[in-house]
Amino acid sequence: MSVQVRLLLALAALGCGGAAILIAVLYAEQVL
Amino acid sequence: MRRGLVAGIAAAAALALPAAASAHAVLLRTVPQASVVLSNAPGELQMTFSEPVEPRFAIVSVTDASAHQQTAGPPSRSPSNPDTLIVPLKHVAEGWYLVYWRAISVDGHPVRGAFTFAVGPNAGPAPQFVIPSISETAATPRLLIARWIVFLSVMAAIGLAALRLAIARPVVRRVSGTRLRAVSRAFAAAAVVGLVAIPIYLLLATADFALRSFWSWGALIPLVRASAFGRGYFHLWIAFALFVAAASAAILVDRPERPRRSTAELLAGTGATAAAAATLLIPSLAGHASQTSPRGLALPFDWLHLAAGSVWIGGLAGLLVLWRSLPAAARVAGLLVAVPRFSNTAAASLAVLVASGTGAAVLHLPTVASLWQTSYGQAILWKIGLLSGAMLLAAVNLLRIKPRLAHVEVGASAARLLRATVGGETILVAAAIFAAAVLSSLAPPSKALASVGGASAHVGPGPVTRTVEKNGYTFRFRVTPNRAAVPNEFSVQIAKGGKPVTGADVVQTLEMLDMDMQNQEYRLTETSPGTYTMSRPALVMVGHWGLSFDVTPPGGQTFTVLLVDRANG
Repeated sequence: MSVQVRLLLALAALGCGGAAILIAVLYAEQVL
Repeated sequence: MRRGLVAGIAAAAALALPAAASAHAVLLRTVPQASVVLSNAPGELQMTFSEPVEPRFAIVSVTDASAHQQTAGPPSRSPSNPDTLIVPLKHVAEGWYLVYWRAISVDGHPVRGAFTFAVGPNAGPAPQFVIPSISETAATPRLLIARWIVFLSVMAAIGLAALRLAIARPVVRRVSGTRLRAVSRAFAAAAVVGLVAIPIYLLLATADFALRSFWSWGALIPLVRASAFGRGYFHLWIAFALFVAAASAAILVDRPERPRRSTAELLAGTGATAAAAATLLIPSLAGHASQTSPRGLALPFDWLHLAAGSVWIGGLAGLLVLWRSLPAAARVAGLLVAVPRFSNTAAASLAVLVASGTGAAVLHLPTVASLWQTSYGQAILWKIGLLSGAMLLAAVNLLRIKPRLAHVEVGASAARLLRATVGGETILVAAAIFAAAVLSSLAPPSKALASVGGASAHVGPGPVTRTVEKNGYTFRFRVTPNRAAVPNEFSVQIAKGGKPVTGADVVQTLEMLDMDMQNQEYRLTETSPGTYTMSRPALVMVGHWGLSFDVTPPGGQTFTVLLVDRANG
């Protein structure tokens, strides 16, 4: 696996983590 | 001993903390009022709850003495107040009517209750009602199993990712010829099960709440979008899918044979951790925790509990997979790396699990006795029992097997023993997660139970005759026949120094203790010197009732005598 692909995957994982946090925060705003 | 210890800690902390607010919809007002005799037939029934319950999930039955249904249509939301449900009625004749209802709280759990009213002027005595059967649809075996699979797969996927990316990672580097591919596959399996199980559970539960078929997706999907319960699980599904994507990328990027992690590995690991944290937050936000005061404590307790439970169950399952997948020659050496690291993590998780679980129990339970008196408390006791068993096995692993793994001559037999204990532990933890699935689908006990501690006597089932002394007065209580949904005669004979106390004001309040329900209040009439009575079908349900009598003797101060009564059908 090339360095670029590895970095791309890592950034995608980071993006998923950020999106999940955003979803949890938006949901918390709805219910709290 | 742990059970006793937990109960002891819960008792001590319960004294220090205020009782938790109820997490579920409570019926605040009804039109017509409970037990009232109306002069004209009402055209509709109005029920105002403490939160906007979903009318399409509510079932309201209004029956006469012969159990004939009197509703003219399904419940709808009042245009003027979103918390009020309106049920159109047929033109009802003179007589008594029983209203029996079940609604689904915003967090997805059912609440139910009943009351009676009469249409006069000559309604006559209240009849013996037949209680209609409205099932507790949030706790059917099918729904509980689906809920369990959701909890188990989501928690196991998160724990397996933690084991693969952090705990078992050094095995590959330190023991040649080993790989973690089997653990990654187990993560993928748990992830797929979770991604499929969440929407299936959501549709099953919505179908049951709305009394529709599971296959009527055209009708169910709008309900999922409209209900708070549906939105909660939908958010969980999305967050879990993002976690699965992030963790999969992190596993793909990870090169466990290198001791130091690359930038890509660190970034991907951070993403997966953030997504796992967010995923575990959503059930806490959707469940009891977000509606229990103080939220600032209830939410972190719940989140920590889920996180610790995930690391434990996923780690155990992962260790079993690792055991099977390691080549026989490298098995003991591999376990010697993974087991101590897992044991340390598991010990920390356990401490968090017990502490956060005890904290949550203290917040949710109004009294220590509700641990064994209510289904909610009993589910907690089951959970504590199962987890205590698992902890015992964990202690055996930590104290006996872990040191023996290092000895060449007994290492192989220790590894076999480890498989048995870890297998047993996994089964016990999975069973404890089932208890958690039951627990989270039950309503926490009514806060009214907190008043039971001050009861002068516990009476029933069956006819009651009980003498109680309070403030220098002697009270002789009678409740006959003390059965639910039939007219009961409540009487109290008050005496002081052997002489009947006449001219007292006696107000009786009936409070359902097993669930939140409107209280009923009646003034008793003095039928003979010192004897105050009333006859009403006021015990509208089978269960525990708080019968409190506010007594004001002539020229004296008002004081209260509380009986806890159990009424049978």
